[in-house]
Amino acid sequence: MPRRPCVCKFMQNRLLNRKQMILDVLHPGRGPVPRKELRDILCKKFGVKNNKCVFVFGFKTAFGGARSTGFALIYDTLNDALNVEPKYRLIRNELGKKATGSRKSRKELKNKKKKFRGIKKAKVGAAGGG
Amino acid sequence: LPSLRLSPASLCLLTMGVRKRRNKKKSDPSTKQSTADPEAASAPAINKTPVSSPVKPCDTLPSDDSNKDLDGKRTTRKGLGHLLDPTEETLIGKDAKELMGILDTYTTKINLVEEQVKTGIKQVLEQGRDENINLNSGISLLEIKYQVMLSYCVRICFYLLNKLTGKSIKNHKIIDQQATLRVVLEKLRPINKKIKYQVSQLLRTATMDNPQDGQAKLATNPGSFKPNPTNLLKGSELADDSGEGIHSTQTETQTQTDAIYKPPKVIPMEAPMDKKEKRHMKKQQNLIKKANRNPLIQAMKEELSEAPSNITIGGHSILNDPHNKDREAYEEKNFKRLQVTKKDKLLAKKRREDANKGVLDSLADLDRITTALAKAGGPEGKDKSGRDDLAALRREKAIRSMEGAGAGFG
Repeated sequence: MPRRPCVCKFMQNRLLNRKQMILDVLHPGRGPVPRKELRDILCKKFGVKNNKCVFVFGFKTAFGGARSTGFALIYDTLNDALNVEPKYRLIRNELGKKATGSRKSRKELKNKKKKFRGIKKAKVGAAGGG
Repeated sequence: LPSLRLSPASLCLLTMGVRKRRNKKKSDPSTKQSTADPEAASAPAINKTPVSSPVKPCDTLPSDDSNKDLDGKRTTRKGLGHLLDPTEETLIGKDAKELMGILDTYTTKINLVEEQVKTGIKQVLEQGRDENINLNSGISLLEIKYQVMLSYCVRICFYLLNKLTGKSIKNHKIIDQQATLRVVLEKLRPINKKIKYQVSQLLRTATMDNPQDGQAKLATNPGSFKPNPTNLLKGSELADDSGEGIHSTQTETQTQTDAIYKPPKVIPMEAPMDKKEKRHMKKQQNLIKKANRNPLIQAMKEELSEAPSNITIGGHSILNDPHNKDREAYEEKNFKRLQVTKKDKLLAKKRREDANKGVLDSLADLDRITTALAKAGGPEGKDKSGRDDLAALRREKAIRSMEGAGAGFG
């Protein structure tokens, strides 16, 4: 299973405590490489202990196949990642939880909570969830 | 570098021959003191050469001396490093003979050069001692030239020495130095050509009979050294006559003091174009550009050319689409992918359709294009093709009318 990621435009972003780069992956003879695989490869390459600090996204395969380009971010600590990253990427990396229930139900719950103040809100939440 | 294991016989042959030639080179009267030591060293050195250790061969030999200029500039090199046959000895023997021959010619040429240089230096030194020449205010370009050439030659000698003693010169800084010197020499060449005339004139004034006139010439009118076409017409006799030049400048100096300042026209330049010419030239260029953009012409070009073809849609390549460049730059900079909106999709579709519109749809298009091309850049001239077409049409009309008349009769 040959796949070779090539790191381009590498930069150490000290403001956000991360390393950001563009990944150019060559995968002739097979489809695009799954993100988890790429995460593991990057962990090995950069010596990252916690593979949940590595975020890989935005992959597009070039016309004709065999090559895809995307982005990768490697955070210094998990806390930095939790503070900076958007929710959907945290969910992809199993660091966040997706909101349960439909959109409508969530909005109804929110509107119910508006009527109460303080600890009583939690009671409404528990009752409404059931 | 492939390292060969030479047999003791061939090894001895090589080293002996090389050292012999080296000693011969050094046997000039000026350097006789230094020969004593190498000669003494060479005899035990041959016995010392270890047979077991592999000798690293030079990957380049000193070139055939016919290619060398007399001032030592190297122009070509030959390669030898790929000798990996089983018949190494015979091959090396052959090459060794060649090497001897080359080294012989090299020594003779070096002796020649040495003689020339010595006589030249003698002359210069004599003159210098007599007249106390100050070299600071000379033409700096010439000084650069000879300094660069000298250092180039010195480095060549160093390189040769290393090669002859078998040392590798792989990552030596001398290669970079040599390359830069060569580049400088190449860049000096066109400048040299440009100032050649001026330098020759200066030399002429320097060796003139009455030097005061020459000085006056230099001081007042640098334009007096401009190219003089009358020299071509009247022949070499009058050109060499320095009196002619002086007379011309005297009148010029008088006019110069009266008239406004005009910069000296020493370097040949093209005459400025008038409006009509400019317009015509621009028109031609525009027509050629338009013709090149035409997809039919491009298709023909692609068919006939042997270069690797670029996948294009209507003149724009797919891979380096200019419309995608901005988007890609933004994406890479901000680390986020942009959505392709409906608007963008529509625009892309429109672009594709517009591009394919220009391609040949009917024979009428072909006719239109060919006539346009003919009018743009025919070999004869502007409107001759138009006239021909008109004549042809008239002919056809006449024929048809005749036929019609004939049919009517018959």
